[in-house]
Amino acid sequence: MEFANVLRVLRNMAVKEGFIPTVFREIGSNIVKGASAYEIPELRLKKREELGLPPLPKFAGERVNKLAEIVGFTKLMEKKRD
Amino acid sequence: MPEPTYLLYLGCVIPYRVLSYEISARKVAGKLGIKLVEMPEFNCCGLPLDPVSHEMMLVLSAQNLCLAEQKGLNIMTLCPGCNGTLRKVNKTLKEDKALRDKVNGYLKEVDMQFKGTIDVKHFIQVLLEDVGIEKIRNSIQKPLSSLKVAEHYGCHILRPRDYMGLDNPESPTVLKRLIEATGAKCLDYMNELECCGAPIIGVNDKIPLQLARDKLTHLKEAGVEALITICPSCYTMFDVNQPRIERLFNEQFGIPVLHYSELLALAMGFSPKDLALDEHRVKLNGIIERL
Repeated sequence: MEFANVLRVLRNMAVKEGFIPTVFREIGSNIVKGASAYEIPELRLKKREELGLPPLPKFAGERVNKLAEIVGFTKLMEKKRD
Repeated sequence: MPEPTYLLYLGCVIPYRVLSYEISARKVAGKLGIKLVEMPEFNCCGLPLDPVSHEMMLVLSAQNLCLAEQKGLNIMTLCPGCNGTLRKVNKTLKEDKALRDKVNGYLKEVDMQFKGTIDVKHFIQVLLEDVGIEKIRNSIQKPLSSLKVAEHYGCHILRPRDYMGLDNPESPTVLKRLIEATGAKCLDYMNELECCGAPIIGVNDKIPLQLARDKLTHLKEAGVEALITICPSCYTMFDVNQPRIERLFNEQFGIPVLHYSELLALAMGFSPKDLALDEHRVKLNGIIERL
């Protein structure tokens, strides 16, 4: 058993009890809403265009949202313990 | 020999804040005959959510692998974190039938199925395995022989060894060999393999900023003129956060940070303007003037 896996299991257990650091709540919420860990501002997308980069692929937000429900992630994120 | 073709997986950090990395990678790939195909759809690899929900990480990663399978193409990543996650999930699901069945049970609900037919590589692995050092050396138009740089691998490209298999995590040489192919001198410095601190900056900023400051101090002591990374998160720690570290510790570093593909692109003859190097927080003026 890798040591990192032990830590990950312990963290996942803490989350099930509602202990979720704010940063993980924010990232989780972004991913469920828009498929990316960060909400990319409009200005950044414009900058891509100016720099000659191709448009970003379509974000699979709808599918991620559905899977988050099925896996139980959405419910998990609702738990909160101070 | 057919040109190597990959589905380019950008991850979340690069489109958000490190566009110059993407620009250089695309230019270098084009010059070396690596064909890059855009992902048909995108979602996060799942890495940031592994500490929260391992299952959510698995399905996020598996979705990307399924998209690549549908296209019949291997994935190339620029971010070692995405690379490590996608590689680990790919290998695990290929080998663990019970877990694969479980994940496929979830994926079935969105009309997807993981089959285990593709592979995942980081850009430097593609450069090493599909292009080769000799071809890279032959592509150099402006050898960077006057430049003294140093390497920073970051954590994810080397570990866990069983999943990555790129190099010896305790004593790697691949990045140094790639750097030296550009003509630049790659200097050694103390604690080269230490983490940049980025993974915990969201929950605690004191420790990561101290870690990055220690590395910058060692780089300065070694006389390094630029730090070469292959990771957008490490880059963010050393470049974007460098002015903050200087203010916090009342020290001056002024060490520019380049992704390997940017260094290679400069050596290939692309101009700093072509590469949007003015996007970097720590300015490269001193280096660029000499090139």
